[in-house]
Amino acid sequence: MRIARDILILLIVFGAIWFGASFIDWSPTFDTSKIVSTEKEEELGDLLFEHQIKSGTHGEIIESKYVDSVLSTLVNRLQETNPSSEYNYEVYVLDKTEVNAFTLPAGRICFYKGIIEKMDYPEELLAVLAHEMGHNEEHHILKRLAANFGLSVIMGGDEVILGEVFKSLGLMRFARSQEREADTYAFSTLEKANVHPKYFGTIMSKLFNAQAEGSELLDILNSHPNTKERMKKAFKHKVKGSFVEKKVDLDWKKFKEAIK
Amino acid sequence: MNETHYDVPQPSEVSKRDREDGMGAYLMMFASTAIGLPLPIINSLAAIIYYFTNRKKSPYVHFHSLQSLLSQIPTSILNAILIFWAVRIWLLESLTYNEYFKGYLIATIVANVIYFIFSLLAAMRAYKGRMYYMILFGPIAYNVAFRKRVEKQFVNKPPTL
Repeated sequence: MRIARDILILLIVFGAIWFGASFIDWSPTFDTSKIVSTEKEEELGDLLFEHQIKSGTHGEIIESKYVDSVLSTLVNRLQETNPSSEYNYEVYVLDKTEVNAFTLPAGRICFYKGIIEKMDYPEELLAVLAHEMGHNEEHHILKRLAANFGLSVIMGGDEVILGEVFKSLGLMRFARSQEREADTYAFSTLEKANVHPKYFGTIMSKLFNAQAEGSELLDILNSHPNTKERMKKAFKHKVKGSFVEKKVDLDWKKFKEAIK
Repeated sequence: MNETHYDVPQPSEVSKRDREDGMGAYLMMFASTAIGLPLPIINSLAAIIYYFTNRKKSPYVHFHSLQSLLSQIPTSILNAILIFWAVRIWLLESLTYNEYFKGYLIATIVANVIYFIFSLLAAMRAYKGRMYYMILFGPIAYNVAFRKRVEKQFVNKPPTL
């Protein structure tokens, strides 16, 4: 009897530490947004954009008037829901087959064409866009950079060091709680923009399945370990009674052709 | 007087030799853990050998070497799983980021630290001639080491006529 009780105690203690440690967020949670000014953030964003995106390190920017007009229509649809936003979002599609999307400081969001090829509806692009906007609105990028490099490094603005900061950006991983915050932001923004948040779930499940097939290593999923849980949240998200879904008026096939 | 178990010796009754052997049972574990780190099976073997060579000396030494042997089983298993899991992740590089592994790693380190602290405590107590009962392993080791073994004597009987 006593032995069974002791075994139970040991198992419970070990299990509790195991699962407790699995879900602890180890990244620092101080609020960097109050320390780094908006100008500085824009400066950093510009610098990263010049060195990393314009230089073609991650594939050339796909430049086409049609693509630009579609992207700005999509961004506007989301941005209209948050007029108080301090960012002016710019979206780019990069000519790279990797399935990923990321955001630079100060609202520059980049999609690789690989991820767009996986999307079947424009609403899915809006969902990922809203998620990346969430990372901006919650100041995750600066918090993450501050955690990885130290604030003084960012504030110093040394070009060589900033070069290293860029390199980390591709591999940058947000903390679980930050992903949750970005998701929450995305769901409410999508709802306000009359887009059903379920599309976030559908694109996540497509990325998840693509990984399960083993066709390629998906960075976005490696950096987003709780994909299933997040997918469920998107599908279970309850929209308000007054919600009316408005389809995006866009020839999606034409858009996908345009970025090929 | 206890009918099923021998009396537990008091500190003054334990010989210096027994106290050193009792302490040695725990300290030997640290040495073999260091050697056997990549393969936890090695320190399990060392513990078993130590146990079988020392258990006949006295119930006191028997108790401490058995408690030492038993108490290292969980951490050995945990460490073996950890190494197996780490090698798996290393071979299948797609599992580069795994929160459950991270949690398991931390929990296993905690378990090893706890095992280390309690073993050290037990070694110090054993050297002073005191009994020290760890959770779960203490009572089991006591039960094995101090139980009176009733040897069944063969009784000759006349044949049934």
